[in-house]
Amino acid sequence: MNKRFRLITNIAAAVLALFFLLLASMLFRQISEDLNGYPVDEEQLLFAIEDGRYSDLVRACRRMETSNQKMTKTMEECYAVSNYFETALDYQLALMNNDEQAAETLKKKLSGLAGDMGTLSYAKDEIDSLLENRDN
Amino acid sequence: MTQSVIGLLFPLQNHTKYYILKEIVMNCKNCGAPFENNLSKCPYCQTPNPEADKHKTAIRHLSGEIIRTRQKLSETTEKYVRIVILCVLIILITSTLFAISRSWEFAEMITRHEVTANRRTYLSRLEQYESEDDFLALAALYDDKWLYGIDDFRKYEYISSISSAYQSIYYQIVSFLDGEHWENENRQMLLHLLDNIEYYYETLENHRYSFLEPYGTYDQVHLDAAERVTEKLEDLLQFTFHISAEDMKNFRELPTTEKLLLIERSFQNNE
Repeated sequence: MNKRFRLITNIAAAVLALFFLLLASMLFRQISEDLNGYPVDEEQLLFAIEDGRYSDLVRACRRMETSNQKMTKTMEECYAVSNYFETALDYQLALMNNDEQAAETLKKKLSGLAGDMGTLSYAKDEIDSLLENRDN
Repeated sequence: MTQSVIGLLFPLQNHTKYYILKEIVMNCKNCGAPFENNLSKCPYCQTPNPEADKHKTAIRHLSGEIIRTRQKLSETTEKYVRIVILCVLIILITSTLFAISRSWEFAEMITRHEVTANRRTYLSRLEQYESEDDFLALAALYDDKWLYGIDDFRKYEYISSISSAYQSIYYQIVSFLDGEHWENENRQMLLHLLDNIEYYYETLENHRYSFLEPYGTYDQVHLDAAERVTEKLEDLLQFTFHISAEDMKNFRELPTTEKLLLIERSFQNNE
């Protein structure tokens, strides 16, 4: 058999095989993303807290929750900040509606969540001042 | 390796092997005794065998032919094997490209399978979220697990549509809370928010009747939950944009432009 033919087919097979492997990994990743969404990373959550972008934080944490993503300790703290923000907002709404019973329950929940924030506990004061300053 | 593959694919026939490995048995012209025709003399009467040399030459020629044919066959087969391998790779690549473009269908299939297997778990989670007024989680679960259109979850279709519309508005409203106040881009965001609010109220009214089959009507528990979502939404709007309780009472009925004016006026009065 022609040596040239052998060389060309060897190269073509190698290139096609590599391309196929690349596409197969892309397919796997694509299906995984379709199934679980884009994974949330620690930095993304930390930046959202630092910048005070709580809408992004809550959104990312909710996504993390539904996709059952494994959380690191820092991510758990970020998750606590997100929960604190949501609960603090509910608390402000309860105060606005003079719903004392709900406000009391939410206040208890808030103190529990504040303890889960760990190194990110500074966010508590920021959230409180952000929401309390908006109270009518 | 190719040689052994060829050997497996095209084994030599028994009679060919016989011609190559064994010699043909002939009878002596003098004494009639049988002997192999590659012998130069009869082993019994020593009469010379004139056929021996001719036979040996023929055998050598035949073996050479067979080896050359096998080599040629081996090369041809290798050529086709290579072409087939390339074709298979091209087919695999094309199929994978197609699969990538339809990956969500695979994901949906896998999710549907998983949902069917964990039907009870998901139903109890939806029930829990609804009873705890955790409508963001309800919307996220319903969307994430593609529960729309599955019979078992159809009874949650209405509250999930409402929750999904609420979810979009919630994130927008929270971005007003944490963002810079009242810049030009905020007006664009506000217009977008108002579109979503209008969509929310439409969903609240229209979807109540859209997915009735085969249940006839949604249970009161879901209709009550939808009312609670609406209360939450209106509370959020009131709190974020400092709208008075009096103005908020008629908010739902106001045309979009008046809603916009009301929000702007309330917001600016408080700044």
